[in-house]
Parts: sequence; structure tokens; C-alpha cells
Amino acid sequence: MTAATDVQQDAPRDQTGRSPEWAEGLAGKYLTFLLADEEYGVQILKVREIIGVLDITPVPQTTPDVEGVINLRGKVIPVIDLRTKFGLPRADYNDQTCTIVLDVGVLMGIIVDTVREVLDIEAADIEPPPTLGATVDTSFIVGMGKIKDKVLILLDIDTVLKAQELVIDQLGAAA
Amino acid sequence: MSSRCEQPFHDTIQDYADQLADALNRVDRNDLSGLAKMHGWCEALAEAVSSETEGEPLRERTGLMAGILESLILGEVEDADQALKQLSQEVSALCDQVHALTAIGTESTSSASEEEPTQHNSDANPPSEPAAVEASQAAQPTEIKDAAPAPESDEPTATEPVEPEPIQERTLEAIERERAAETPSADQNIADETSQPEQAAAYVSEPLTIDPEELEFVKGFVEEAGEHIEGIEAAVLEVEQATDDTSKIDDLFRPFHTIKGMAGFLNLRDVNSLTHEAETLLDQGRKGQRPITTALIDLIFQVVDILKVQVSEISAYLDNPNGDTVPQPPVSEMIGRLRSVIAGTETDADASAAGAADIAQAALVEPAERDGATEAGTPQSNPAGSPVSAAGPTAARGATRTQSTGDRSVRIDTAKLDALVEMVGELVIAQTLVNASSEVDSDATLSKNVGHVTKIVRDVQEVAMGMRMVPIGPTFQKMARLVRDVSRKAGKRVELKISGEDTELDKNVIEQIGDPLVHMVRNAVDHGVERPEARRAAGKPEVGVVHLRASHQGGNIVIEIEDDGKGMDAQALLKKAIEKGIVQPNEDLSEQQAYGLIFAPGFSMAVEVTDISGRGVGMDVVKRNIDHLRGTVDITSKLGEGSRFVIRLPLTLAIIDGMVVRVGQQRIIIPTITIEQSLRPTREQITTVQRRGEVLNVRGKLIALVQLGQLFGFSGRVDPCDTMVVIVQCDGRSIGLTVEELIGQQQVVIKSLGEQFEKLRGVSGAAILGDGRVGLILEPSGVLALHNACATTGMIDDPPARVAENRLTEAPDGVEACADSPTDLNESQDAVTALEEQP
Repeated sequence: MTAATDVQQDAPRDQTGRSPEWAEGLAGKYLTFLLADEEYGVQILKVREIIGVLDITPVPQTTPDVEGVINLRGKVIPVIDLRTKFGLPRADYNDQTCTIVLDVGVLMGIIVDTVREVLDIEAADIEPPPTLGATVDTSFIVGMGKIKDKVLILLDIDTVLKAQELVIDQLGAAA
Repeated sequence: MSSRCEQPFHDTIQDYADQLADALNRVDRNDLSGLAKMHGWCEALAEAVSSETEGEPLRERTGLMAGILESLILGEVEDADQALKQLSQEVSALCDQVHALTAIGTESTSSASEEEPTQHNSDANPPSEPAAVEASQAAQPTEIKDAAPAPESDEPTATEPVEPEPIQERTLEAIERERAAETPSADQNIADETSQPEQAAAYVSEPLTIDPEELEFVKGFVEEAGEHIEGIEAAVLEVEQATDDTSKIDDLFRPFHTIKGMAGFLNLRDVNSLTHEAETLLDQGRKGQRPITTALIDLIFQVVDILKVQVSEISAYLDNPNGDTVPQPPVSEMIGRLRSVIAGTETDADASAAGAADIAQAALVEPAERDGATEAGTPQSNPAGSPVSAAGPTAARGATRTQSTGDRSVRIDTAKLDALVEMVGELVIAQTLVNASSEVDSDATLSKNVGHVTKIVRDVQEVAMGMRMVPIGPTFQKMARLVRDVSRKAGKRVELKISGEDTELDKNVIEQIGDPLVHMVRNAVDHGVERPEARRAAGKPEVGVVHLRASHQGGNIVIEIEDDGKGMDAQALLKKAIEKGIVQPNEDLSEQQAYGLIFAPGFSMAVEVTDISGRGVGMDVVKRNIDHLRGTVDITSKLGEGSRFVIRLPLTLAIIDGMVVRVGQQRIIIPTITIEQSLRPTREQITTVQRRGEVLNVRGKLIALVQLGQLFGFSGRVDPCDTMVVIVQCDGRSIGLTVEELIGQQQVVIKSLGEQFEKLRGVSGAAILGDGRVGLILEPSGVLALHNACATTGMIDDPPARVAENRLTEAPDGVEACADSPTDLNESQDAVTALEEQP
């Protein structure tokens, strides 16, 4: 801990020139999950529930990451395959695969490989997202969290789920 | 109540008179408690009157009224409506008498009064009696003032009251204000007092603030006022057609009177004063003192328009009650004009012309929405326009009647109703799940009980659905004013006929069908009906007719808009469409399809754009709205004779009756309303076109075949002869959808997919089926559009594409082709269409 605080005192501003207050806003509890050996975190406040993979009804004319819709106790909500969304190769679903239902204004589900745990991440442990060059889209990463030698990719789940349209408009003009 | 004993005599009788007048508006023949109350007041009034000699003429009348009321209560009258009518006349006359007394006889004080100067006491009786007699024949307080000095020897005393009068009035006002909570009628006096010295000051509006404690009451006022305004507009149509029918004029008078009362109670001065003048004007009308002319009706409409703005401003304030003053539209001019007309110093024609000029200038109100584009004629129109049209639906959305009869109804927050209906929907689903489980069949007792529950759930569903049903009458009646205004503007003479007003629709459907109806009626008047000269030349009656009809047919609502105008020219439509590039030059469309062109975006037949329509923006929105309601529109027309639009809508938005089919591994629900038939075609019925498209021949009719599974990416191409084809209707044409299996017909609760799927074509929603899985609900119009946009890939002879498994690892060919190569499109479609048109 002292090392971390020392670092903070020595370099009050990080590489991108952001002040530590930025990290304060991101501190809190995160639900972590695995996706293709990478570990991600989403703010627990946005998580409604975690379920297994239900019967999915595919919906035509949607982007490839939209698996379809499911019946969540009488509500029909869309479900996104996160691997596809992030451009990772798809994998078969097994008994570890989970659907995380999130509330981003509307209810949506994301399919992930496994759900891990809930971690409390402090501001001091959050770093700004890395610049990985132009080929990697990091618009939905708000930061990187460091916990017990692991690095978590902290997601801006609103951007992940709502930045793009789900429907491919086949007809152009009058939709 | 005890304060009454200390009140001056006039106040007492004025009070009772007002209470009786008010109560009369509210009671009907069955309202025993209301009638009993009135009876009580009559008796009290009789008692008060008998102790005063000047009240002599009143006594007889109150006795008569009490008698009528008694018979009504005891049910001894044969014709209760007639009795009520008579009662109303008596009450009216009574009020006049009382007015007369209180107006001229102000110096005639009763012994009970402590405040009045007593020197005129002895003179009180002679002038008041004959004056009272005269007054009971005359209608106006102003006329009383004129009549009183004329024939009387006691002239000096009668004209003296100017000085003491104001004192008395002011104290009266102060007392009235204190008792404001007790009787709404008390505050009508305020309005009376302010309008009486009319020769003197013009009406001056004061800033309006609403007391935070009164917010709830004002909210109620806004809702009720909205309804009354609707009632007024509906009643006007009736009055115009039967100007001598006093009961119809009554229907017009009463809402104004009620609004005035409520406004007075809540200190909404401008509203109170405006409606008071309108009420007085109409009172003259219903007493036969003033003929109901078109100009008078125009004036009334102008008042209504101002009233609408007033109400909408108040309503807007209620959305954000921050203590500011509520903006008010100018009323002084209108009030002044009304007063002049009432007094006879101005004709109604002049007044209404002046009013119309004002409106044209200030663009105070827009009665119905425009097509959305900017109007050349009225530059400042829109800001005032939107709140006005919002006032109606907002007021209506706040609460709804559960029964249309109005006799015994409860106001319910629509949010509660919606919640109930939603829960009932869940109940239906849950019950279906229970029903479907295998344990039920095996156990006899369980089966019986579940069956019982099923029946009850179905009953609950029916009742819940029924609660949201509202008659279409008011919506139709609103069109009356629209027709009047539009036909005026277009220089045509059009009569609106309405039938089937009792037909009930789901409240949500009614709200959404309003706009399309407005557009179509406007079109009928603007484009359909010809000008009088043209009609004469064609041998038609000068007055065109637009007929609105509503009915239930086979589980659907059918709304027809028919006009006897010039009809539609299919050839001309086609030509115009080709001109605009909406249709390819070599395309040949059926008559129905040609008529359907008017729904294409940007399509307009208007040679010139009037400020009513012609921009081509309205009809495609209409079509979209109707599609959204999962309805259909059929058009028939005969050149020179007229056109008819038939809109078919499902009875309710929440539940749909559909055929569940299997496509690939998924279930799709096809709305029954769209299905023409289903069949398993034989090899001979199928014709391929360029080895890509397929056409089905059904009894000579050629129908394009749509590979639904492939289109949606649920499966590859299927051989229609091995499966079923469901023929559905959309946009006036039929298409055949290939499905792998017909599962069954059932009612499903519709679940919206949400905003994110708004742009989805071909699918209008989802439903949860018996096994808990989700099925998509088909929207044929969209399917057709999709089909036209995508080329079906692969030749027919190709081996069938890999049928999709439960989880697709990559999007199948069909979908990709759509996204990548839209070039191929119209060829196959053209060929198919060409085939279809072959004789």
C-alpha cells in the first residue's frame, strides 16, 4: 500500500494528465467475469441479476453480437454475446457460461464465459485505459483496475451496450 | 349555516336561487338525493320569502317548484324529463326574479338587515313589485335597470341606489369570499358584480397565481374543463342543425355554466369572466331572445379557442408549479365584444368578424395540427398550436371513465388500469404454462381444478380488457369542427355524417387513431369533395358528404371514411408516382395498388400546395400509424363518385390472435387478421422465375413466395411443396410465406421488444409462448419490404443451405446477401410482378 501511495505522491498526475479525482468516481464494487482468459469488471450497481443461459430467440436483421431475446420472467430482453461484441472468437456455451442482466436504462443481458466475484476496487488501484494503438477500440474501457496481481478491464457498460444500434437497417430510408 | 340568519334577505334568496340553478345542472331524474336537496332549498326559500312582503311573487313559484320536486322524488310523474324541463324553466324564472329584486331593490332592506340604510324601507314595496313582474319577463339585469325607472312613480327611489349599492356589493363580496368554500354559486356573484357596471369599465385582466394549496382542485378543474370543452364542440354541431331546439342549446349552455362556477370557486378570474359572458349569450339564445346564427356559433368557437389556451396554460403551470404567474391569453377584447353583443350594441356578425381578424393576426389558436411543415399563412402559429392540441389528450390521459354511460362511473388513473391489464397478461401466460404441463393431464382432480382456474382467468382477462374500452363517439364528434373549419377554408360545403359512435375501442387505440383520422378527413374535404360549382356541374348536390362509420366485424374494429367527392384516378396516380420516381416506368400496378400509392412518402397529387395539405407528408404517417396499430387500410374509389377508406384494427393492443408456426427452430406468430389462407402447394402450383424467385398459383391468382426462414436467417431455403405456405395480406397484395409447420392458433400477450428494436422491419413484437420461449410476431408489410430489398441468393437447384442450429456460428447467406449486395434486387421482383399481372 505504501508503495502505491508513494507513487501517487510522486506522480500526482498520470500519463494522460488526469487527476486522481477521476479515479474517485470509478471506485466501488465491481462484478468481475472472464471472457477469453481476460478478466473484466462492471459496476455492481448496474447488475440486476445473473442467470444461466436461457433459450434464446434470435432476431433477424440484428448485428452479429445480438444473440436474440430471452424471456426474463415475463419480460422480453435482448441478449448480447460479449465475445462477438469485442471481436473475440466465439465459443460454445457450457455450464459455466452465464448471462449477466444489466440495467442501462433498459434491461439487457450479456453472455460471458464465467462470472467470478464481487471486488471492491479503490481509487488508488485504478489507472486510466491504456493506449493500444489505433487498431484496438478502447472506447468502452473506463480504466484498468489492479487487484492482487491481476489486472481488470473496467467496462463502461453503458457504452458497450448502447453505443451502437442493434438493428441493421436493411432498407435505408423509410424504416 | 347560522350566518345566513344575519345575512340580508337578498343574499339569502340569491344564494338559494344560485344553489338551485347549480343543482339543476347536476341532477337527473334518478338522483334522489340531489332532488331532495333541491326540495329542501325550495322549502327554505319559501320560508325566507314568506317573511318578506316583497318576496310575494316568489312564493308562488317556490311552492310550484317544491311540488314538482316532490312528485319527482316520489316517482309520481309520468314524464320525468318533461317535469325536469318545467322545473328548469321555473328555476330560470326564479333566478330572474331574484336578480330583479337584488338589483333594483337594493335600497329596499329587510328588517333582518343591519347594514343597510333604512330610510327607503317604506318605499321598497311598490317599486320592487311591478319591477319584479317586469323583470321576470325580461332577461337581463341591465334591462331591469332600464325597466325599473320607466313606468314607476317611485322613480326617484329606484334611481337612487347608485351610491349605497357599491358599498353593499363590496361587503357582499367580502362575505362571499369568506364563504367561498361552502358554495361555488356564491362566487358567481363576483362575476355578476363585475360585469354589471358594464357601461363603465372594460374588463381588465389581472395576473393569475395559483395557491399551492389549491393545486389539486385546479388539476380537477383542468380535467373537467377539458371534457366540457369537448362536450361544447360536440354540442355545437347539433345546435347548428337544429337552431330552434332549446334542449340542444341547453347542452351548449350548461358546460359554460359549469366551467364558470368552477373557475369562480378557484379564483380563475379570466376564465370565470369569459365563460360568464358566453353563458349569458347562450342564455339569451335558449330563452329565445336571440337567434342562433352562424356568426353566433363562430363567436362561441372563438371563446372556446381562448378557453382552450387558458386551460392549457394552467395545465402547463401544474406540470411545474413554481409560484410564477400563469400566462394568460388576452381576453379583454373578446369579453368587451361579447358584452356589446349581449347588450345589442353590436351584431354578432360584426363581433365574430372582428374576432376572426384578431385570430388571424395573433394566431392565438390552431384547432387541429398542421402537416408539420411551416405554413406560409400563419407565421407564429405553432407555439400556440401545440399546447392547445395537447390540452385535450393530456386532460384525457390523466383519468378515464370506466363506464361510458356516465350514470355511475369512477375516475381511475390510467396508470393503474395499465398496470392491471399488464398483470392480467402475465396471469394469462402463467396460466398457460400451468395448463401445458404434463402433470395436469395425468391427474383428474388437478385437471378439473386447473380447468376451473383457466376459465376464471379468461373471464378476468375479458373484464380487464373491457375496462379500457372507450366509445369512439367523442373522437368522431371532434371531427365535426375540423370539417367545418377545413371546408370553410377550402371554399367547399361539406357535411359530416357519423354512425356507430357507440363502438368501443381500446383507449390506447383511440388515442393513436385520432391523428390518422384527422388527416384522412381533412384530405377527404380538401382533395375529395369538389367545389360547389363543380358539383353542380356534375349534377351532384352542392353540399358534399363525408361519412364516418365505426363497427365491430369479426373481432376487429372497422372504421370507414367515405366521401362522395371526385374519387381517385388510378391512372393519374400511377403517372404521378412514375414522375416522382416512386414507381418504375414499366411497372404496372393493380387498381388497389395504385390507390395505395398515396401512402408513399412524399407522394402528393396536389397541383398546388394549400396551407391545409398537399405537401405529401400526411398520408405516409397515417399508414405508419395504422401499421403500428397492426391494422390494415383498404381503399376503394370510383372516379367522379367518391372514395372509401376502410381501416381495420385489432380490438386491443395488448393481445393478439395469431397462428403459431415453426420456421427453422423458432416459432413465429402470424396475426390472424392478416391471414388469407394456408395450404400445402403442389408442384404444379409453383413456378420459378429466373431460377431464383418463386411464384405460387392459387386458383389463378399469382402470389409471390417468400422464403421466410431464409429471410429471417432461421433456416435455409425450404421446398414449399414439403411444407406449408401461409398466404398473408399486406398493402393490398398477397404474399405467401413458407413455414415448416403450423402449430396452432392461439391468443398471445404482446411484449414490446423495446425502443432498441424500433427500426426492425417484419417483426412487430414478441410473445411468450406456452413453453416459456419467446416467439416473434410477424408484421407482413415489413416482410414484404425486406423481401423486395434482398435478393434470394442461390439458385433453386442448389443443395439446401446448412440449416441453422440452435446457435448460429455465423450469419447465414441470406442475411449477408442482404447487407452486401443490394444490387440484385428489383430484377427478380419485377419478373415476379410481371408474371402476376399476366392475364
